[in-house]
Amino acid sequence: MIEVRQFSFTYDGASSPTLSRLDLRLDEGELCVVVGQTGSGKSTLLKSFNGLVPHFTGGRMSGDVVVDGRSTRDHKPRELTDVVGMVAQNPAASFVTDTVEDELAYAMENLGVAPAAMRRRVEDTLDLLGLHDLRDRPLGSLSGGQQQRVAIGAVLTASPRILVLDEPTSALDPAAAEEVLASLTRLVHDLGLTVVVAEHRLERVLPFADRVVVIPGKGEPVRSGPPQEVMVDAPVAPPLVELGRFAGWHPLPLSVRAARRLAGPLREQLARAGPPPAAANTSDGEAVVSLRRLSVSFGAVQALREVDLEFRRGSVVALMGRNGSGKSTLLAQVVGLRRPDRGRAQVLGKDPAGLPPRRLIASVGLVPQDAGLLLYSDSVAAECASVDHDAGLAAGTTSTMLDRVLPGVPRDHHPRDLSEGQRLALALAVVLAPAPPVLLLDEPTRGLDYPAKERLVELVRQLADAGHAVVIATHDVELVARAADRAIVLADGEVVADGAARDVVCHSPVFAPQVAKVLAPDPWLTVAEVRGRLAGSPA
Amino acid sequence: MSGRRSLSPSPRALHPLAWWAWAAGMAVTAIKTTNPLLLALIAAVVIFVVSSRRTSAPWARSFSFFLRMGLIVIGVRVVIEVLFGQRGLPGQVLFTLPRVPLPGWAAAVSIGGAVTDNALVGALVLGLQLAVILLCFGAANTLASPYRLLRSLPAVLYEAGVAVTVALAFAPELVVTVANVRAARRLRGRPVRGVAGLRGMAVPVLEGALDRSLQLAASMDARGYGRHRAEAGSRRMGTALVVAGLLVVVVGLYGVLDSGALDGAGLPLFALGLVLCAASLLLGGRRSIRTRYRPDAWRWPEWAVAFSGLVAVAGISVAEALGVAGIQYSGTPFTVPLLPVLPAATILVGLVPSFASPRPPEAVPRTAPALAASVSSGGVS
Amino acid sequence: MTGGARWRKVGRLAMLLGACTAVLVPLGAGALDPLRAAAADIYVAVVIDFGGGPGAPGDVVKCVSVPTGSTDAQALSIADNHTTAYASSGLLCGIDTYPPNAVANCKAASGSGYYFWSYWHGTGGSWVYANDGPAEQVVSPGEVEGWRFQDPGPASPSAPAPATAPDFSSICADGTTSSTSTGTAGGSSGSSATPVATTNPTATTQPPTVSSTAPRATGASSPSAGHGVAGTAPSSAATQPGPAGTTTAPQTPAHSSTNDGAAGATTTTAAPQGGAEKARSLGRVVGPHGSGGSVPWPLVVTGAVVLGLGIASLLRWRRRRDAL
Repeated sequence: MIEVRQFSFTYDGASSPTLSRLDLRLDEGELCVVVGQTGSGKSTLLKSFNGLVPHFTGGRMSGDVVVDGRSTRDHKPRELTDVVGMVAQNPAASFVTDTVEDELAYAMENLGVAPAAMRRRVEDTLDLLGLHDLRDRPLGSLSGGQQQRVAIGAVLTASPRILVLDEPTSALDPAAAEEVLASLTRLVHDLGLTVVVAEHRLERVLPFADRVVVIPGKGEPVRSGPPQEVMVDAPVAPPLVELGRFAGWHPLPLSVRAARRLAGPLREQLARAGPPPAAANTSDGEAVVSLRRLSVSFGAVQALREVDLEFRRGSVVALMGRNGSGKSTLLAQVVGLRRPDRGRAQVLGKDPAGLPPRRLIASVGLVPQDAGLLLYSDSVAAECASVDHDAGLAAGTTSTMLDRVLPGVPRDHHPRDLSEGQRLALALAVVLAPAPPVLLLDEPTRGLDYPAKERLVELVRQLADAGHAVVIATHDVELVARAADRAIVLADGEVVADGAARDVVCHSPVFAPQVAKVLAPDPWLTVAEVRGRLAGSPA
Repeated sequence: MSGRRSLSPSPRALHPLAWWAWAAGMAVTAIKTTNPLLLALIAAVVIFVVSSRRTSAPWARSFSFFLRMGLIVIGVRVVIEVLFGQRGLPGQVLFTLPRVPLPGWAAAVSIGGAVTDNALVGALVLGLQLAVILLCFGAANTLASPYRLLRSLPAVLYEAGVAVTVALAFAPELVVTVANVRAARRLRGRPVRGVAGLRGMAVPVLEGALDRSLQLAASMDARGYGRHRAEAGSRRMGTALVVAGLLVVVVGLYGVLDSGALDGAGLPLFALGLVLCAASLLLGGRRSIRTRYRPDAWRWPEWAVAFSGLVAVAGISVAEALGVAGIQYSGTPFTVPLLPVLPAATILVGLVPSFASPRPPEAVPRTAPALAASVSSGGVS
Repeated sequence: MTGGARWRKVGRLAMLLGACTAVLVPLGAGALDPLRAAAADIYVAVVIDFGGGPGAPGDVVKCVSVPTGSTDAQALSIADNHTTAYASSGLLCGIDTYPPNAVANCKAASGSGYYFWSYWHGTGGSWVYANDGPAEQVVSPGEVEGWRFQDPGPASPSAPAPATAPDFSSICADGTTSSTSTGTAGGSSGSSATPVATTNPTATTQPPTVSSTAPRATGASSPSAGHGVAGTAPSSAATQPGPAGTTTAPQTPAHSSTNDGAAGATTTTAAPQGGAEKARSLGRVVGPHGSGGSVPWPLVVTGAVVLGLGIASLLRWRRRRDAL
């Protein structure tokens, strides 16, 4: 279906090729997951299936990519519309019309399909993706998962044989991600489409994959094959696979169900070796943030209802909940971006909305979802200098902090040219330079690969040990499992669960990390814990 | 709503061009008169129709903005009159501002001085005229979906229409981005107000907009935008015809609106322009292979709505041609304005859309607004 | 704020605006004119030449007393009983209700000429085309100002000057006010025109009896909203018992507006009776009748309609807001 022959590509102005002499073959009717670290060329490869590389992005290409018999050398993206459908990372940015139905019909209009056929196909696509009760809705009013499905539908109506998706679930909460992945699986199994997905959070996608393509980057050859074979020694792996590797399971389990079947001996071993580590004590440490009966509403929508919370020094708190439950609103209240309708928020005893800027950044720092919003200088060095100046710090403080967070960020790059991990590191450095005792992170792991997540987890733990209070709003359960001491679940603006991370997370079907699901009912959170427990006792 | 027979046709969305025709008719009527009573009638009619047929769609929330803009326009006009209006005309002095002496060659301009009541009223009336025109435009915006309007464009104008559609979609996102960037600046401890605030906000907003536009362009390209039959010659001809036709239409419209200019050649020119445009549409349509998905229907409610606007224009044009008194009112001499019956009646005909147009479909449920106060981008979190 | 609060705010603003305007109207300039006349101490001669076109009244030559510091425009308005009509742009369109419907027809062009009022200075003994506007200069004693209506004419100094010679001493004999109105019809401004050629001067001679009671404090000397130059022109009651003559210009038959109509009760309907049947014409206008004691019908009618629509709109807005 897709043949990549000796494909090399160099962007304009880049010093080295992004992909070099790639050979790949994808058969029809497969769900193929492309894996690789940030900057390894995953997006480039995906765009080359569509013709966007090189026709839209520019650059130099050698070799060939043939999709369904058509070469992308000769065919522009618009001529491949009926063969390849591409869904970008941010579906909202790719919408052309204003309602769901019109968006679905857009591709067909461009192709000149007859109106009767258009009508039929739109209805079919609505049913296929479960969108029929959303057909008249304006696109801006849809949730993330719904938007993602509409974006898939919009390319599906052109009846392509191949569907290419670039990180479709990174912005979605676990439930919405499940919906999207279920739709994709249905497309593969019922329609026989070929689906190619690039994902960082492998734990969601791997159970459904028929083939895994690993792009190691740095010029090493690409590996492709069935998941059980490839994941055995892939450089990035979800916790389940890591557990499998550690326990020596064979064949490597890819889903929780498969793992549970093999997990019996391991569970017995763990039971003999001892209980899981105790929950860290989160109730000592000075309370630096207190929220009392906090209520916030936007028009008729109540975003937060009577929230009573306290965050203490030395603890890492995870705020979880589906999209729209009020996590970002709560963080915005703590940092004083808006005054609450009722109740109050206090940071170090003061109302954050009334603090002057310099006091504010020395008291609490928030890294928003789009870290790039914080950055507006021309170069990394200029950014560091401006932070030093704004916060009244000694010159070089921010730069030192940046090196501590992530060494090796080039100082002369424009912030928008950095990779996701580097950008997040820069934003963290910017926020941490004035050493605020409270640090808030809003969805920090979107777009981060595993190594970058590792570094984040380490940094967060170091900060907690140093006495900061860290609050992370996220629905990345693996991050919560690794980093958090305490977990709070929000739903509809209310606190639904609040307690030690282990207790809250382990027994929830939605928020449990993979290790916990495999080793249930024993409350193990991470592979590191398992490894640690077994290493400390005679095997 | 169920169980009650309504006069209006069954719920569907009225063709946007019908709403624009009605609003244009009201606006042209407002342009042709400075009688505050007639203008007030036009405003009342427009507001009534909007309140009867508005929806809760995002673009439909802008009407109060236009209302406020109108009031601001009136206020600004009055302030300008107070500060810079022509002095020395007859009328009762209400109050006197200190006069700023100007050199002799600027004798026609005066700053400060005595402000008379009729000057104020004259300024109020002119401001009211502008406000009513704004209101008509706002009504068209509120009632007609801009996206569906652009979809109704003929094929030859498709690319221009897409550009405008994208701009329309970007505008609210831009507002959200600006709000996010302001929030982020506060997080950085930087000024959010004043000139310094503006400068620091421009860069992230523009960069974000650029990124988004690139993503959108890639998505459109991947979905077949720009496919066409290879016929280069007729394309140029078609574009030239469109441009020429539109120019002639504009000139003709000027002649129609400014009675007296062009010696009455306005209407023929306008008609000629329309013919040219129609020809260009036919020519240009041949090249495009795009089909249209569920185009809006044009049935009798559309005719009724469009004609009601036309009737208002006809009424005031006829009255003007007959020399009926009271269509223009300048405040000097300072009297109660007259109410010419024919224009007033035809303006009231503009109420027809409030019952002749179909009710808009109430399909849109309430949704959570974009949480701009929380620093989130894309998706409510 | 919510939609309802916003509408209340808008409504309040609008009402404030409307109230301000409504207050200004009764406050007409007539109220203070007696005071002003008492302070007058400069005599200026004003010559108004109506151009002799069809239906134009005869020349008006007057000596008016104006307060010190007035402009020529204010002098002119005293001379013609405050019936001077200006367009919104400040262009002088009509003097003494001539031409009829002045503001609407102000910029009319005909061939290569224009209908316009030319302004002349006559202080030096002969007419000199004025290069400035009447509002730009302050009067000085002994000035002679001239106005001529061109029908049509070139908008340049080559236009003909007013026929009367600019002789201050003869106009303002003994320095006293003498108004010589050589108009053929002493008709009141605003006798309702009987439209069409059936206009006879006789119809217009009746009004003098009516309007000669002109010195009413409220100054409604033109009780009917005649020819586009509106109703309650405040007349300086002190100065002119003889109102400036206006004839209903019979050359604009179709334009004439009967001013009876919805509003009922006016005492001046004596003249308009002849035109009552013409009231059915398209040119119907609702105007304020009678003296200031009667109701300004245009305002009332429009106000009622606008208020009704406004309240209905508010109700509908609320209802849809709750339903949506």
